[in-house]
Amino acid sequence: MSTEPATLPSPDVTLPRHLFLKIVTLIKDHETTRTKPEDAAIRLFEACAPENQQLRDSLRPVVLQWLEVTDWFMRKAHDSGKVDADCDGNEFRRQFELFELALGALVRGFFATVEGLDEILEDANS
Amino acid sequence: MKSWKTPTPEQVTKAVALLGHAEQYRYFFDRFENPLWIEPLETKGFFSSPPQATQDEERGTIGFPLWPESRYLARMAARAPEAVLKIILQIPDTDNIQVHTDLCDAALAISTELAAKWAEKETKWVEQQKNLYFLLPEKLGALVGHLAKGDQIEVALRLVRSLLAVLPDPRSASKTSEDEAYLLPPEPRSRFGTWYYKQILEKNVPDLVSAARENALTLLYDLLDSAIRVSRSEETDKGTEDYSYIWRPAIEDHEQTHSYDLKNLLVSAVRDAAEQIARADPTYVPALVEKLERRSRLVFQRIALHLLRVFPDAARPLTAERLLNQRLLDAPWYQNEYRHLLKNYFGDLSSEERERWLGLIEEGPPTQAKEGETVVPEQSEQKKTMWRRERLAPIVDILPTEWKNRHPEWVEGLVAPTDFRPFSMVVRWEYGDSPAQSPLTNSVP
Repeated sequence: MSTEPATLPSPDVTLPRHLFLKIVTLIKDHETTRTKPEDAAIRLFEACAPENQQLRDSLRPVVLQWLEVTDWFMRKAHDSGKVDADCDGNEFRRQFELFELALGALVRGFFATVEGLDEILEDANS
Repeated sequence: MKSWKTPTPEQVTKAVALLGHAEQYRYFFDRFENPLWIEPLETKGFFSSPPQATQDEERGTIGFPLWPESRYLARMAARAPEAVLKIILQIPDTDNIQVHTDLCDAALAISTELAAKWAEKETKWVEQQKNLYFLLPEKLGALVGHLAKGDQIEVALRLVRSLLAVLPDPRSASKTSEDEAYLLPPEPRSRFGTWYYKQILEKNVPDLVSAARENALTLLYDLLDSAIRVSRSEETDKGTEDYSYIWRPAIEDHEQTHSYDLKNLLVSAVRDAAEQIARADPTYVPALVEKLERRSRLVFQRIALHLLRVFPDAARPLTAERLLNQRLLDAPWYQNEYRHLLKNYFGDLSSEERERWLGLIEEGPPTQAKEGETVVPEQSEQKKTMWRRERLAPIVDILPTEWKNRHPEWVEGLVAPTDFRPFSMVVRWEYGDSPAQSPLTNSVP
């Protein structure tokens, strides 16, 4: 003998009207205040170097790499169920160096960072 | 051959991390010479976002920012042609002329087989442009020559057709009232300045003519035809009439030819291309003459006469036929080329042909009184004498003495001219408006 009810329960949930409106307002607020990480990174790059505005599309690969690095640290900063000892020390060092390089290039003047580029150019062009 | 170091992923990532400033980005790409970085940099997202042209509506200006990435690709093209081609075919469309100039430089540095693939894409883009600026026309012209020399003839023809396309005068479209229609005749225009247009016709089109011969010539015929059609209003364009004897008094080079007028440039280009083909293969002259004469505009017939003069041995029977053609003998618009031909080859005609020609002169011009015009016999006779003297002048020195003695009034005081353009033009420009000042009318008895 079947124990199932004669009809399936409705998938809809009935909400009081005032509660529904509060939820709608909350979602709208969230959408309007939310900033995409890429937009925030672009603003950072252009605040440090206003001339970057002229080359926003061309510099996108640089911004995306910056985001990859910062995302890596974000993932470490939030609880992932792992302890610090699980973190690969070499990878941590590599990511930190990249972060430091990128930040240095962004906030220091052209002549302070051109040496690093010259090293790469000399090696690659030789 | 130099061997380049393949970059490690760490090196590429480190380099990208250092490009946070526009100056660093430019510095890096302007100095980079290693072609093996192309692929890793592409993987990082470079070469996919060319800067667009920047327009300032208020100031009415337009700017074309340089793109260091395309300049790097242009430098690398000779070293890594396949890799560069793969990328330049994928670069999204841009209205930035500087980027197109760099990509054209890249295409010029690679084999014609590879360059043809980019040229196909570029041809479609050129067709959509109203204007091409800076060095791009010159570079695209060089690409036409490059493709032609490398046997990519069809691609070269398509590219040059869109590059040299004749466009209508924008003033024609913006006419707002009936009166404006009478201000200035429409002027054909190209996508760029006529100086570059001339350069391409003189420097690059000859390579295409060598490779494509008749197809290149047909293309030039079409362009000239378009230029004439565009310069005429629909109401006044009667199909064959082109008034070329006014804007092009002589098919050969002449000081009165406007050298930077599109129609004139194309007349010279058709003439030079026909001569080039005839020089390479003189047996082709009759076919060239026939094709020119099949075109409806009068200027093509004039170029055919010019060709017969320059290559006399290639088509003697055709020369005799043209000299004995009543229409060519009579119509003023053919006279410059006709008289040159007559002067050079009357002596070579057979005695029977010479007799026939002199017979046409004795008959005089076809008399066609205009509607409502009363023909006064004395005036009519004077006009006929003028007509005969004009046509006899080029050969006055070699006319049979017996014939001259029979018609002294037609040859008396006649001096063989050195300039065969329609006389009325010479009189007006060189001697003022008074017929009394003309050496020709002075010599009429």
